[in-house]
Amino acid sequence: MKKSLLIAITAIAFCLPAVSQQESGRKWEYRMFAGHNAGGSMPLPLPAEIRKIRYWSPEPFTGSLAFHVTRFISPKWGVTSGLAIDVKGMKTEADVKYMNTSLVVGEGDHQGVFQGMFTGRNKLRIRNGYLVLPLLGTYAPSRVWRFHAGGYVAFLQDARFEGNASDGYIRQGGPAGDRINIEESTFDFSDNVRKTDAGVMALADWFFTKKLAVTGQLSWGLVSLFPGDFNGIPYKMYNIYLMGGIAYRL
Amino acid sequence: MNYRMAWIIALSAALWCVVSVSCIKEEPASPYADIEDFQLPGDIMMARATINREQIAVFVRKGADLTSIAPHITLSEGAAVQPEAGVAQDFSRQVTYTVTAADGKHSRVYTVQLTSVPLHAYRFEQWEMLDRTKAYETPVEYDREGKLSTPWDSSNKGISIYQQYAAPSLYPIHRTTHSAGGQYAAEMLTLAGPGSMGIVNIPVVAGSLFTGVLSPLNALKNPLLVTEFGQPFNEKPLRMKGKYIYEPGTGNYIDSHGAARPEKRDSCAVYAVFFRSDQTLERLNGTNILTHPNIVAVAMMPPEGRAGSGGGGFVDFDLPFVYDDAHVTDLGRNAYKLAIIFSSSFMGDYYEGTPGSRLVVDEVEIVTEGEEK
Repeated sequence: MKKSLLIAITAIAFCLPAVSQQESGRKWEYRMFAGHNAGGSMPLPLPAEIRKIRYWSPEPFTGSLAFHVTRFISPKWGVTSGLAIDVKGMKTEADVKYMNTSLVVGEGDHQGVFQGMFTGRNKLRIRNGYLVLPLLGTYAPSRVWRFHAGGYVAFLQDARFEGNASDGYIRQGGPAGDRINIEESTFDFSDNVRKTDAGVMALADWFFTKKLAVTGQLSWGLVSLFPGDFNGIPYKMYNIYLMGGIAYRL
Repeated sequence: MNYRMAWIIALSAALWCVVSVSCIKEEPASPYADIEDFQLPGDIMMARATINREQIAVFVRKGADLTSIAPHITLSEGAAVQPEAGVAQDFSRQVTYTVTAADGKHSRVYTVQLTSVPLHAYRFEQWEMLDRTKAYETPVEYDREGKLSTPWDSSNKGISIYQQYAAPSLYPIHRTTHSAGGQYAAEMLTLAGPGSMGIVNIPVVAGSLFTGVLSPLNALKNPLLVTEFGQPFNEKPLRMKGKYIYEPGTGNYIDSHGAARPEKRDSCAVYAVFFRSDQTLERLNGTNILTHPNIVAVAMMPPEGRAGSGGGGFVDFDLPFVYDDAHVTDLGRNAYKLAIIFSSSFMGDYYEGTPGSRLVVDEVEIVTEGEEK
């Protein structure tokens, strides 16, 4: 995470001298923004295994810090790219029923698989840090509005995906297996989170002064959070987050 | 055009998309196809049925007419059974029940075994995969009427929950051709465990073979509750005889926290416990196997025998049941059970022992009152 922060700062610093040179022609526009992420790393549609969501909340200090560069190719249209540090996270607690799970345990000769079907309560805490590279089309109908839409690729820098299972039981091996009561057990799938993400995103800036804007961003991951051979969670989860923040036009 | 409006509409549309596809779906139908309880009417049953993955063992009164009995069967919610529970069956032969879950996709097949005579001799000649989804084998026995019974269970069942060996011989409890009589004997090994699995720390797994049922229900709460000891035994045992080999492992003794304890030496478990089973006590477990007030008699291998059998060959053991004077054994009025326990590490149920410890047992016999020679 620290390494990527350094890269981002270097990249931003590298671009800055160009700002003053290009501003007058209005072919280039530079924006920095910071905002808070709220959303979920979640399965869509919700699988039938999830019976009730007891609570959901964003993680504190999960946000985006970004630098975007727009190259206008016509007075109203442009192309935007840049770099963002994006921390996506949430806390949730849900009741699940008949949820298949399978975990590799032990190492070497003692490696085995624990497989089962869980019914009970599931708490999750997710906090994944990404370095995001967007490529967006920009529409600037006026000096006040900027709309951007396109795609992104993201590289995982720091993963946290942990939780616990409680108040339930697991049927080992599947529905016909022996029942094992689970009062409270923790799990940590941080090492299994996929190293890259890619998806679509859209954002809008509304400039309330010449320099300052309110910014909103929706990013929708199209790559599942875990690789296909990971069976700890039986369904695919995607990063779907809304960001709200403040942008500054350089 | 009001762009603020456009932005709000776009945002609302996006949110609506998320919400509409993320509604809680209809509850799935239950995939469970369990027989939760199996009862025979009247006073035929001598103890509650033992329901294992594919077998239901029922201990019945000697001489009872089994040719036409309609059992009472408790199923998982919404499940159906074939043949139907209320229909009388001839239980003098093997009866099979197929349960289909409420979801219609999952089903289980149970075979009912009725036994009326407790086993006295255990030769470890027949081994079967009692759970066909796993490779491990468990010794089975044929009683004096030639009927199959499954009195034994082992730590193989617990180990197979997280570790699936390809062949029966790789599990810590397996048959060996190094036998004292017949073709096979039972060999038990203590192995290094998987260590910490997040949920539970298992530094050592011992090979434990016992009469009773291994039930992982409370494995995460207390591993000592996993071994449910005892099978119906309505005779008075006097001695447990047999042949064994025990070689403790040569490496470090590992305690339940995974720490090496070089000052300790491994020992084996070879003992039997005769106890009264009642409303409050169906079976003993690791927490009370030698201490429960319902214990009537214990036949225990002395410490020097548990430390090792010496040499490589089979050594005879002949252990008297020592009765607690406080109990009056009344076979006519009470229900009794006998737990026979063998383990390659005495403290194996605490996940303690020395990897490499090896116990081989064969030709085990329970001598009862009235047949003592």
